[in-house]
Amino acid sequence: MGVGGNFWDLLKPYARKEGFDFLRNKRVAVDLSFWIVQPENAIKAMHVRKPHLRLTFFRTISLFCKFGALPVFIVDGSPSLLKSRARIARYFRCSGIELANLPVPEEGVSAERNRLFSSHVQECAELVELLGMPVLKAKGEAEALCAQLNSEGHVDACITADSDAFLFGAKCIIKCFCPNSKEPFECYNMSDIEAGLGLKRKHLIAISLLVGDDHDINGVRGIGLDTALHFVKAFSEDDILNRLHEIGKGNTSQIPICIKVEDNVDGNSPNRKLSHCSFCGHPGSKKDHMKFPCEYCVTKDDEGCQRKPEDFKCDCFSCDMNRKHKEKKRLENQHTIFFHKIAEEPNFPKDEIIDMYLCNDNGYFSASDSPHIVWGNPNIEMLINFLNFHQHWEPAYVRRMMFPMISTIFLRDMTTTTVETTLFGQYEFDSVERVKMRYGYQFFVVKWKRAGVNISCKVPLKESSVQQDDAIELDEMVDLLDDFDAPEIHGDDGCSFLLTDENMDLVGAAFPAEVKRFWQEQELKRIKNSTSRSQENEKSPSPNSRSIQLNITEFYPSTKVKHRQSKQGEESSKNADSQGNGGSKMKRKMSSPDKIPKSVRRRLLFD
Amino acid sequence: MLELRLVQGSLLKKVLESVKELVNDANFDCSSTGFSLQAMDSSHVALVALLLRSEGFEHYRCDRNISMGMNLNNMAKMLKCAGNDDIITIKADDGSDTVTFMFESPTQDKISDFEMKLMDIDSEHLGIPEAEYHAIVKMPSSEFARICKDLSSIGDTVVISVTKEGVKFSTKGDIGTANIVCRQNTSVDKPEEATVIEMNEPVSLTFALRYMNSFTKATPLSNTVTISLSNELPVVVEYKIAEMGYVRFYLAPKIEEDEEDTKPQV
Repeated sequence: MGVGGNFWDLLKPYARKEGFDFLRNKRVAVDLSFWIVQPENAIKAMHVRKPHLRLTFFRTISLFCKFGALPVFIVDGSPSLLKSRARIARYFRCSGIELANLPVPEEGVSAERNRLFSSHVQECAELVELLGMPVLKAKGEAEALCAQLNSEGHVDACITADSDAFLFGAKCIIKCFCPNSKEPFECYNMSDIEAGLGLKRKHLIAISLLVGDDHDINGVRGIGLDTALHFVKAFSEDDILNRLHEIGKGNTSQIPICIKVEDNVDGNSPNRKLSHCSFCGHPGSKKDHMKFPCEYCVTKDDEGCQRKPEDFKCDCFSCDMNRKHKEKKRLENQHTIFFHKIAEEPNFPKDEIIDMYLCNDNGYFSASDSPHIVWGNPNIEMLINFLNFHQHWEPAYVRRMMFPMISTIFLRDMTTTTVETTLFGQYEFDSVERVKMRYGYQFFVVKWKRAGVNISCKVPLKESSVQQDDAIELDEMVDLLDDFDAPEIHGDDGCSFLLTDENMDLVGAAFPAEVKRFWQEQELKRIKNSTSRSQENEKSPSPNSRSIQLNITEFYPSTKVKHRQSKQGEESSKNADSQGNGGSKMKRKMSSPDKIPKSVRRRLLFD
Repeated sequence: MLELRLVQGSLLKKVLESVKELVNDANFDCSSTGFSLQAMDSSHVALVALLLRSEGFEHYRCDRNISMGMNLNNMAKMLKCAGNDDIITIKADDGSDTVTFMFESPTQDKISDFEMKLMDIDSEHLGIPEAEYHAIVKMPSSEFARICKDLSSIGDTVVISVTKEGVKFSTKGDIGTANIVCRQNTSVDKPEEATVIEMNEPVSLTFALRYMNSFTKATPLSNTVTISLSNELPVVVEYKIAEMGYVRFYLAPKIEEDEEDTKPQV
């Protein structure tokens, strides 16, 4: 529930789809009842033993191990008197019982939720405590405490689908949590809502008062989300609640009307409209326009006014003033109706609701003391007893399902302390097996070796694995609801190993030498592959380069000497010509002094 | 001075188109016997030799031996301005640094003259001895051009083997191998479509196909091509030019690497 109307639709444009690592190392407040209500509706038809416990168990491990989040579980306290009254009214409305028979809860006594649901919440709270998660109880609404922790910086986000959390002061809400997708978190930030819609916390409180919420179902009659939004945006955050009080008391005269009206319109509002021609639609009379065209119709002197087209709107000065005046009147009427509706509502706005939303004391800790939020180690033995009693799970099955959480805590502790080197006193770090891609993110598959291998240990392992298979068959249907990867069991040379998917940074911080060696091995493999490819490349050009091209000069010797001899022969022939042809020489002497240009000479030779 | 008049001007155009891809600059030597050219490609792997005998010209006047250095690309651009049926006249004065090309249309109603600057090119002149060849293959020039083109799409070298069965052109590359065998066929109607093989002893040589394809640019000059081979000697690819001369391409062979040489490298 939360704020009435389509409040989440209003915020939809500001949703952010966040990726897998969004919550890594972030403290997250979880509304435990929200977790329980969702699966209860989904699993009604399925015959599964205590689904609320099962889902809480696996979801907590996924949130802690796979997403690396640090959850803080918030349990509801007693609901407020107003909420009890609203809940009773909702119940009666649905059941069709007449309102006259509506019981009025006595003051000081608030009705608890149904006992079955409360017992489920209690069981889940006990379970997550055994898992080592911090659990806080709220004085009233769980989302109120979630929001307060978020606002005060004790947690980084809230997981809740209740839009009230923003009214209680939350800064970051994770509305949807789908573990099986690439972008598992649908996230809303108050900063985005402020930037996009211009709404702050008190604006949202005002909207909820007008539209209705968990504590007052109806709100103000006749006012919906759009009207409320339009009104609320006109005021600043500090002013909005005071204005609502004044409107509620009927002091509408003091509230300035937030309409920018031109002074000219106010000063010169005409009482009546000028007469207009029914033919052309412009000011004047029809008789006059039949004789002479009006100044608005730009036509020849011979012709009269043009007939006005359909949907004609006169744009003369008086008509424009008249339209503005009408608009002003309409807006004034709207605001009058709005204020009247609010004034008619008895006891509006309810100070109890406002005080509840603005209250900063939702938990059992004072402002000077910080809430006790510590993530400890899970209590394995108590968990085994708890889950064996409630779920009929075998101890070996519980240990195997718990293994990812133990390994995650172990890897985190490795960076600070080295008290223990084994998990469950049995398994120790062996190596990084490979890199695994899940939903677009890389993980290390870590191999955990069983320490102190004895021959006698083999037989019990087989027996426990058989039992585990039986347990898995029983829970197969429920596995579809949540994606959870049980550790793989891997046998090799008589030793048994467990394989888990771990965060790469976490493994790198815990065992840097091992990770470095792993990457070096990967690099060697890559080099080998590239070497073999380069060898293939080297082979292919070799057939083409077998032959050697010879040079033509190796076969035919140069005859430059002969060329010189031929030149000498030419010179000797020249001498012979000169001796024998004295006449031709004289001819040349005669022609050269004339200095005939080349073109003329060419023409003469051609002729 | 020099004055050459060639009625069938298209022959000179075709000669330039066939040579310019192989050689950039060349010296044209003019003597009383004819108009000739010898030039190597830039890497000295191939050699081109051109001869246009003086008897083939309508008018041939060469008072003394002259050598004209020309850029063959520029010369081809000049000759491109002549029509296919034009009469081409080449003129050059003694000691001049330009050469003049004159183009006359058959009906003499259009006369063009182009003057091109000459270059001073210092080039080697190789002595090519008259040689006895182990095998001589005469085949249609269009067939030879087609074979070289087809094989170059498979590999970059061609092995030409001549045996009594015929002549085989082989290549191999990354995608596979190709073999083309041409048998002797002298019983065709047209003499230019015959394949004639004279073999004294079997021959097998390897050549770069890139040069072979350049040689086949001379296909328009002649219907037939003559391929003369001797083991371990350059191949001679010859195209006749009507009744007045020839253009010959000499290509040095490729030799296989010895296994002994390659072993130490590995």
